[in-house]
Amino acid sequence: MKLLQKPVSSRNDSEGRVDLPPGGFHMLKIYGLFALVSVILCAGCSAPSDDVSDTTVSPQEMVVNDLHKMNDYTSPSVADFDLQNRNLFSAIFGGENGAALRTYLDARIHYYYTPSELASFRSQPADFIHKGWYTDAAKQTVFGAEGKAVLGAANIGTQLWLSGLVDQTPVTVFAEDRTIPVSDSRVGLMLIGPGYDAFIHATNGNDYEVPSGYRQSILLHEARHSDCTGGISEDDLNVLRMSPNAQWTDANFKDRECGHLHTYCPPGHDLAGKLACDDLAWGAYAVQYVYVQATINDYVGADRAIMEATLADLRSRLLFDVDDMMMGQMGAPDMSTSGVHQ
Amino acid sequence: MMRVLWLPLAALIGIGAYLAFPSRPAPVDGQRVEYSPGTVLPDVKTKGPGPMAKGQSESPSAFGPIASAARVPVAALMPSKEALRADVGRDPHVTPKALLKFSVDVYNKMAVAKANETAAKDLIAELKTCALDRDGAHSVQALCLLNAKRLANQYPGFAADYHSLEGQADPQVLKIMSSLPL
Repeated sequence: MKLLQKPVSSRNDSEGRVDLPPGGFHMLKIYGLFALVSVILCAGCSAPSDDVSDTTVSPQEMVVNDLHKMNDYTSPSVADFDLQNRNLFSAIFGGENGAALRTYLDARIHYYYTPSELASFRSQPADFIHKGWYTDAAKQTVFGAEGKAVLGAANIGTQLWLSGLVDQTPVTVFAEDRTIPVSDSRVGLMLIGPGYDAFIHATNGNDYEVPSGYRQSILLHEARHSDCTGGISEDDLNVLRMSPNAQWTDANFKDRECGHLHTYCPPGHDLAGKLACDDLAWGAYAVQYVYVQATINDYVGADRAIMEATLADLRSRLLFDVDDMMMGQMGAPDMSTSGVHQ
Repeated sequence: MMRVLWLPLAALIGIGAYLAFPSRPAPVDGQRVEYSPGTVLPDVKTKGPGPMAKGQSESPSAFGPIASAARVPVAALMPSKEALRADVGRDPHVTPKALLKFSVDVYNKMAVAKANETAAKDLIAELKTCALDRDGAHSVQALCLLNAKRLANQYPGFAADYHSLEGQADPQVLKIMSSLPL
């Protein structure tokens, strides 16, 4: 797949314009960054690959396209949803239209990079000391257990920030013309991989264009990982420092709303053992669920079928009573972010 | 005599033309795109989905790929749990591609069944098998149940079959389905 060699930045993009700064990065060890992504926000991901479906549309071009479409979004579906659901869409995204969605997204995601670009990043530090907390116990390495990744998207900024806190060291990412201090959870570094798909190849031999709203929902999901809701305590940072593996982290780390970290799907679940479920309300899957649920009536035909599959998948990953959450019995969505507290 | 010969000749020409140029349904709504290696895909910057306008729909040809795919039973289209888990293993942040593909495959079968009650009868039986498959993933079963309900709504004769099916479905499947607007 042809990939643009320029990172997409949306920082300070109040009018929906997408800035394409010059690219090209110095070689250095980036797999430390991928390793972080591979566990808490991206369980099971292996070494990223650019070698996927044969299209002429790069993931970055799709991001640009999707952000523009998000800007323009307006639909009575969302207002109807809000009327029936205590204004939940507005409570989460700050409004009912595309401008609100962009504001939500741009507060949390600022840079969109491909695996190729990440592979040429330089970072300080180049590696982290404490790696147990994000390393899956079932894997000798974070790469390789399940073949080549076709990663769609992952918010790596939050994990870099957490890793810096755990190691008690400031983290900085260097691009050729850009220095990105990883100073808070909303640093907004997003990996856009080949799995950020444009097409579904159906059994009838046809390729169906995936609706932009599907990919937009992934961006909104990833953006939620930028929120360290409620902050993180020194005690919990100590838990991360002593953690031997990601499973132990999952069982003992209390502040999982900081980064809205996923949990392992429990025994008996279709995805048992995968770090691909949420057991806390208003996490990344729940935010994505609300977006898809609110907008699904905009779609017909195969687009609708794709959004239905997405909604079914999301619902299956929410381990609590979703109706309770939607009815407010698990509290209102807290969309704030914070840092370290005592 | 000429008239007698003309009919089989025309039929032969038609069959030959079909074999030489198999029909492919044209993209009628700007959403479905066909391509083969070497074909340049449409520019998504200028074309492509935002939410699709209501009222637009696909009208699949009675012949060609959609119809032939419609003959593949749902059981053969269902992704296994292992397939879903493998997709999630590769990327936990997106809907398993196998599930997206299945949803489009079922959509194509539904398009045929909505136009033909006999096909609908066959399909609702297949959807029942899918929805009750003990080895099936809940998300897959929910999509089958949802589409069975749609057929029951369109063809009231299937309502009893559907209600029976709903009564036998796994509670987790019913919960997922409750999130899916009809």
